[in-house]
Amino acid sequence: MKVLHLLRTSAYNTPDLSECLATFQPNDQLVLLDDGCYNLTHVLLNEFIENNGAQCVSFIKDHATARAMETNSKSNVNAINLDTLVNLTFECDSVITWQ
Amino acid sequence: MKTLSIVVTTPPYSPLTITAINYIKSAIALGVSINGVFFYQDGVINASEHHTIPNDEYQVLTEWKALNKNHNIPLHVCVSASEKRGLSDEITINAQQTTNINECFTVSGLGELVELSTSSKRVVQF
Amino acid sequence: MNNNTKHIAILNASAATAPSAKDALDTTLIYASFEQPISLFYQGEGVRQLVNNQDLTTIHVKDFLKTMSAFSFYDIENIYVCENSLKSRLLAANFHIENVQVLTPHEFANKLHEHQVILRF
Repeated sequence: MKVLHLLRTSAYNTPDLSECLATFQPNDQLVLLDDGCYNLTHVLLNEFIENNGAQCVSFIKDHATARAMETNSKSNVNAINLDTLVNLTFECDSVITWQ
Repeated sequence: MKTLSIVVTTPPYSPLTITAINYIKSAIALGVSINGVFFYQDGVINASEHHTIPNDEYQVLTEWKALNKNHNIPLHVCVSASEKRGLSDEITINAQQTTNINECFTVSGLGELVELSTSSKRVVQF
Repeated sequence: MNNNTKHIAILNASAATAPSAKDALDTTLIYASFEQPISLFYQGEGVRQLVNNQDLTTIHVKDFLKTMSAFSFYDIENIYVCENSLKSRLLAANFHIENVQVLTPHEFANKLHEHQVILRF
């Protein structure tokens, strides 16, 4: 089954990112919401993207803009809106919220 | 038919709650049917009749009321989580008022979460 | 109650002293009493809920951990703990309840992926 991971916290604050990545499987999707956008410049996420590619990771554009993360991020992660997130919710089989 | 239930665990003063509301609005606009919102943990504070948010800030309670009234979305607050936080529909405030929970919210047990989980295609926790 | 059943997973991420741990347990027992197939996962700080010889009463917290020994009574048989979370906390697999399965991160992830509703507390 394909899991949609919603990450809402910064890895500078909590272990949620590392716990999330420990359960991540190849068909899964990871979406950074809220303070989860701060992970765009975290070494753990950057290593993950180097190893797995950026196509399974996205972030909510407005949430990143609010935190000046869209411009600061060098990675080629997809920016999406909440409509796309709703669609992803139904493309995946289940959802885990890491917060 | 795409059906969805939402679990809200964050309080009204958190931007995390605004994300939940915006997600629900997007889902409605895309034709998804929302079976209900279940408020648990600090999420139950959203149902408080008495919190006041400054006029120039995001009005969380107004948004929840609109989702309930305009889109018929059931808003369930967990009874035990509410009572722990001083919220009840069985208290006497004055002769006219016997609840401090807004009328748009239904006081429910955790069994309602089970019902929402089994009746919906997806459950999303916020 | 409609007739659908879903495979439910409760992912425990909080130590026993966090209010979330009790909320997770309450939620677990409700799903079980409504006869939903439910699995318990313990990861990160959540693994501390399983550690033997805790005494919450010394800090005036109700000892809800005792209730966990009733899992078999509720037919809760799928109890999984992440081996890496134990190891990184220098914890032995010495638990106060029975039938806990210690899984590698890969096995843990595989099991988690078998569930349709996953709530994390």
